[in-house]
Amino acid sequence: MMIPDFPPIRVLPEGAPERENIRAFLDEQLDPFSPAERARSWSACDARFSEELGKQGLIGLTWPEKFGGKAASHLVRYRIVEELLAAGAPVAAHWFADRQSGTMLLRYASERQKARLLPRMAAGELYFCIGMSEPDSGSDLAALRTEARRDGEDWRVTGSKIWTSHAQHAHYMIALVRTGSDESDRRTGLSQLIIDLSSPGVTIRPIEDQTGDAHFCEIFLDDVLVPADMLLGEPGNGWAQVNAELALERSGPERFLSSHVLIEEALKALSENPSETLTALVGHWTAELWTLRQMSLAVAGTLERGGDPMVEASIVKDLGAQFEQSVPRDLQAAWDQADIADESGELDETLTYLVGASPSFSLRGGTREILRGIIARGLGLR
Amino acid sequence: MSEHRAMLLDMVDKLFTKLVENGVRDNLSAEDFSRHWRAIEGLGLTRLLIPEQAGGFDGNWEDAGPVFKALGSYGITLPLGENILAQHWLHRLGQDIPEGIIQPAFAESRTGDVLVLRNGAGFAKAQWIFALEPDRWSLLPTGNADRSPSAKSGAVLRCNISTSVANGPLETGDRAFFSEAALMRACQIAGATETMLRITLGHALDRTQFGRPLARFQAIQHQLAMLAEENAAASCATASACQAALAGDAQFEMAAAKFRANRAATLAADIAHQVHGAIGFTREYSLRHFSQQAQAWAREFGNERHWALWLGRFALEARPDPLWNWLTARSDDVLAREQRGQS
Ligand SMILES: Cc1cc2nc3c(=O)[nH]c(=O)nc-3n(C[C@H](O)[C@H](O)[C@H](O)COP(=O)(O)OP(=O)(O)OC[C@H]3O[C@@H](n4cnc5c(N)ncnc54)[C@H](O)[C@@H]3O)c2cc1C
Repeated sequence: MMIPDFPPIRVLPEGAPERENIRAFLDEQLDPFSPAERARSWSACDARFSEELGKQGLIGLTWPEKFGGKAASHLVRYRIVEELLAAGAPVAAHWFADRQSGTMLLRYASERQKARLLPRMAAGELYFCIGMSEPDSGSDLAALRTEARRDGEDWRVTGSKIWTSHAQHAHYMIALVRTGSDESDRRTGLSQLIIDLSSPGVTIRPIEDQTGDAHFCEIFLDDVLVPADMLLGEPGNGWAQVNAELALERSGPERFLSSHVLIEEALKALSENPSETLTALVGHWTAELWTLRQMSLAVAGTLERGGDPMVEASIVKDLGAQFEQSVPRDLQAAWDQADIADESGELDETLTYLVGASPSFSLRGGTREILRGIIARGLGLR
Repeated sequence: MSEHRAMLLDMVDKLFTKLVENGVRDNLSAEDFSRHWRAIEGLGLTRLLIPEQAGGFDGNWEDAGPVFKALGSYGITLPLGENILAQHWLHRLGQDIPEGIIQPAFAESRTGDVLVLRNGAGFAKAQWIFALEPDRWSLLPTGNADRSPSAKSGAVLRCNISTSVANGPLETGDRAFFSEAALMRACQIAGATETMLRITLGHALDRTQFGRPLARFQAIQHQLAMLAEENAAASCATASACQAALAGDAQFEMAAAKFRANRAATLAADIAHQVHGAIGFTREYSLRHFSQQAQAWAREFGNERHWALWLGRFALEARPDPLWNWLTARSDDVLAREQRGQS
């Protein structure tokens, strides 16, 4: 029986920029943004900001220098990313390239494609999106139907993707597609392709979410030509590759900081000596935030040492989403005009946005139920 | 893990396994209690946090945390944790450690020379009271104490300060002891949630209903996943607070760990009982030693309300510094001190 393990992190990120310097840069950059805008953070695209971040050398930090990176450790990236998210920086444009697509390219792309794509990704100029979900294939990802057929050495792709975050701004999509068929095992015959979204046959339609934002999209692929060397890794190895990719996106600070801007804004607006209910709520937040960060850092430490903390990462994501969802809900429940100074209405606006956005926190990146299934498997129950 | 610590934990595992075999979890007669206590003292465990030159084990918080956790995971309620902390404090206060069991207790009030102390049923077994007032400590023999007739199980004691064998000012204040005791209880809770997880997993795999093991039902799998999450949170929070305590001031981390462990205690107990069904509700079955004990520990040295308010005031007083800034500064500081200590 394996009991999930979270040994405390023991090391500081070596050679990381000082937090003060990152904060000074962010204070200046984020000055024009309202709290509700900052609360959108990794759901908000801002090409100018991503480019500026690229200039500062803060994208693709872990990549080799010849590809525009700094060959820094994952803990250095962790510090920068947590500072960006805590401040509510609009990071979505380069987010997926930095968090996972770059690493996937490094692992599986041809040398030519690495040299061509990675430096511009690191510069904050080239954006990627993640093409996994389809209309009939959500949690059950292996049911996907988008198909790639050989055309000489190249590929022709037909099908559709959905919920693809920021596809309308992205230049490329790493898509999981069916390249072979095996009736007995749906997981074989899947492959990953890098699709140039400016190719003929690609149609992208943004979908408005319930808050009124339009960040995810439908993508229609009609006989889209994908050159042979845009295949990522081995044909038929897509399932294993995609699972390795998912591991990159489950335990990071974005899994418990989605409501952080609201916490800081609430603290600013609270009176000198607020009611016990509100004081206790703030106390609850600090304890949960500290615990989740320690857990997430423990997983980062395990990753840095080359471990495979699939179950631990799922635990962080599930507990983190519960926390992020509780913050707006509990603040709304404890709200007391006598204790909260919000003349501008900005706190209320931020709260309203997060009440609307928070249902997605336990859907995106693997639903609560899917995560609990992964944890149960790790516990030997399935 | 250092070799020293690995040896300690191995010794503790062997001792606790033996104590459980010998019935340490049952209702103990005075005689049985003394027998078990002698086994613990014989290994010098009460001197865990006392330096080597003073005849101690030379341990630190990262040694003590796992020992406290083991008390919880074996379901042992003997006052080892209390004695480790009391001896640690008496030593720091320059006091010789007396023979016998010490019960730490906080003064509820003081009238003239009479202290009113309240601290559960622990007094019955103790020879000494380490009494803490906000700015004073005293070491009192329990023999002369007056057990309040109105209180159940000796929960309230009246002691005359003139009977103390030693006393003095408390520069750190009594809250520093309260925080350390809270972390001790939080570690015990983390041990109890771990055992709740283990035995509940075992039960779900063994017990068959509708022709299959309970573990095959998705509703049960998800309950167990949540139990594992709560255990993970309690375990990581307490281990991190011990790490911080070793590095320096850790009142915030201790408070956060106790708050989080308290939450885990009730959520874990709820799930563990539900998955067990009726068998887990019997006196015979072992679950209660963890589920009920974890909740008793959650009430002691600060419940969730207490620590939520403490943490809330801490965060509010830190303004206008953003919460994020001091939180990360504290954790960077722990790591920096640890790295300096190693080099
Ligand atoms: C804001 C947002 C951004 C997203 N961005 C992207 C993106 O960039 N790229 C991308 O590919 N996808 C993206 N997604 C899609 C996301 O990955 C899916 O929503 C998710 O995988 C769930 O799929 P679904 O929505 O089809 O729900 P379904 O799979 O239909 O699930 C509906 C409900 O049933 C439950 N359920 C399903 N199967 C089981 C089971 N076996 N056992 C128990 N319960 C089950 C689910 O947990 C859920 O509660 C995004 C989603 C959101 C909300």
